[in-house]
Amino acid sequence: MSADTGVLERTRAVGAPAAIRREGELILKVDGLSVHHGSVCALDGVSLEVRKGELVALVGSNGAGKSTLLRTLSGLHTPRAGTIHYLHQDVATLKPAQRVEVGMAHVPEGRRVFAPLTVEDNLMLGAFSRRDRRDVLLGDLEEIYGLFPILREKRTLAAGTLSGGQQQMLAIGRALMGKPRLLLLDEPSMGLAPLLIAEVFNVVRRLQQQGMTILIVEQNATAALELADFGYVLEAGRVTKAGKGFALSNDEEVKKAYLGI
Amino acid sequence: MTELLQYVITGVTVGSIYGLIALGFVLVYNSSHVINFAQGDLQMVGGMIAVAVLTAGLPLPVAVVVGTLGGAVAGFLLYKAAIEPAGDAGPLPLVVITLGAALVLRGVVELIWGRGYYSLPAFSGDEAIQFLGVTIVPQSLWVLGLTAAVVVVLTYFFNSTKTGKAILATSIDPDAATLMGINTRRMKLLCFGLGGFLGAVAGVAIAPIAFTYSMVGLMLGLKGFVAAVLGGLGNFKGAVIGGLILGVTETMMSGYGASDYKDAIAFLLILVILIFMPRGLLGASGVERV
Ligand SMILES: Nc1ncnc2c1ncn2[C@@H]1O[C@H](COP(=O)(O)OP(=O)(O)O)[C@@H](O)[C@H]1O
Ligand SMILES: [Mg+2]
Repeated sequence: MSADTGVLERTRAVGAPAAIRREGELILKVDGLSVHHGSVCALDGVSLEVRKGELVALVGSNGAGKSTLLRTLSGLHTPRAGTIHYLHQDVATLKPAQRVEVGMAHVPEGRRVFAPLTVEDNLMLGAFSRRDRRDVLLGDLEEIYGLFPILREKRTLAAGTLSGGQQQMLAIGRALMGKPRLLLLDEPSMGLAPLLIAEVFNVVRRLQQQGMTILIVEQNATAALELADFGYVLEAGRVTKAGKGFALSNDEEVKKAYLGI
Repeated sequence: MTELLQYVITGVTVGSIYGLIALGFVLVYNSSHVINFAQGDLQMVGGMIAVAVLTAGLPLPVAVVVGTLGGAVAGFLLYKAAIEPAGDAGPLPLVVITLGAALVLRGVVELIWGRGYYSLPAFSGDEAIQFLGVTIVPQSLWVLGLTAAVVVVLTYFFNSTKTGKAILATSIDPDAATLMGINTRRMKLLCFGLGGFLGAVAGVAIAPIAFTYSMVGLMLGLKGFVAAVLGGLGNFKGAVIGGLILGVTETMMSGYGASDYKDAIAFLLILVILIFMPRGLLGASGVERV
């Protein structure tokens, strides 16, 4: 891939090495992960890693196994084989709720806000696993409102009354209230109008600039890969390509298969 | 007029008991989408334990507290022994499980205390109060007061506490709740315990007015269920209002000479609800889960 050196300058302005060598502390390491839903094999020996401060995109078409991967990371599915290490700890021993406590936050596909509860209740539920005092939590709530002013405006309304884009902001804000060290985003652009998609990706970029470590899975491969430091392509439960995000988004095969170009 | 007032007061007392049992149904239904048909029997267990503690020579207040806590423990055990192991069995098998649990509770109580009829002394004497020509037994006031207190505390719990909110989140979307770091099983366990506690509060509060015996939970459970459904099954205030409507209607019917048909009211109401909610209650919960 000749595009590689050019990409480095565009994605990382400072001090990135020439080869695909990734720096930073290893936050997430997935090795040979296989997950089945009954007789359906959804993931077949998936390996990937996410390092501190990276935005990693995993792209793949509908049914490729993207959500299954994130749900397995969060403990909603149990793998048949393989390991997941988070901050060098094998998470197999951690129950789903405990994974949140150690700093994994998951924004699920379809937002899944608690529709009958208020916006503010939803945000505070995001901080459920934290033991901080209430005034600390209220300070963080202000920060989220700073990031998403629309949520402050609507804070006393039922979350179900928000538009799709606003619900996505709420779902992200709710996850951020947990003070995560790793943010898992499942198709945040799904079902949104183009303008809102751009807004969601702007938020993702802003979080990336603030140093948040993010693993995003998307069908919207162009937007995700262009933003990502590193990307993986998932096809029918297997990782078929990996590389610098921008390089992947320029890869001819990927373009043909996923970007519809 | 006095007569009518008398029936209303009696009806409200009975209705409060139905309301308390209905609250137990709603709590469990909200958290687990299970209709716990052992709810009436948890109420019976509370009453029986209180009677046993009193018979053992301990003072009445101790009997009351132990009885209500006994109901809570029975609720916890029900969840741990029967509901949790069934996993995601779905609403119908879980209903069957609770019906089975009800039979077990009745059986255990009969083994220990037989089929006899028992009662507790009134909490603060039997001297009736005359008010506007109406007779009110002090225990009625206890029943009303306890019900009101329970409604206030539950409303506060769900509107203003972290655990209350976590239970609501669990009920709305268990997977999303898990992703918040909420241990959803613990929340369900808590609701079964609370449901048992509420049932037992009803059982202990009514034991001085009506007899308690091994089979009492069958009819009371059904009445509580009807009250809960009347109130919309999911709404605390609705559950209590449903209970009051049922209690007052029943008392009126007996009072005005149709006492043979008193119990039929509840079943008539169930029929009406089933006809006008053709998808049924379980159907409604299925929609939420999508
Ligand atoms: N709960 C489930 N039960 C059975 N099959 C499932 C379930 N969830 C996902 N699958 C199947 O697993 C595969 C991967 O699905 P998913 O992870 O949702 O893909 P993606 O998020 O990439 O669209 C698909 O074939 C899907 O039909
Ligand atoms: Mg998906």
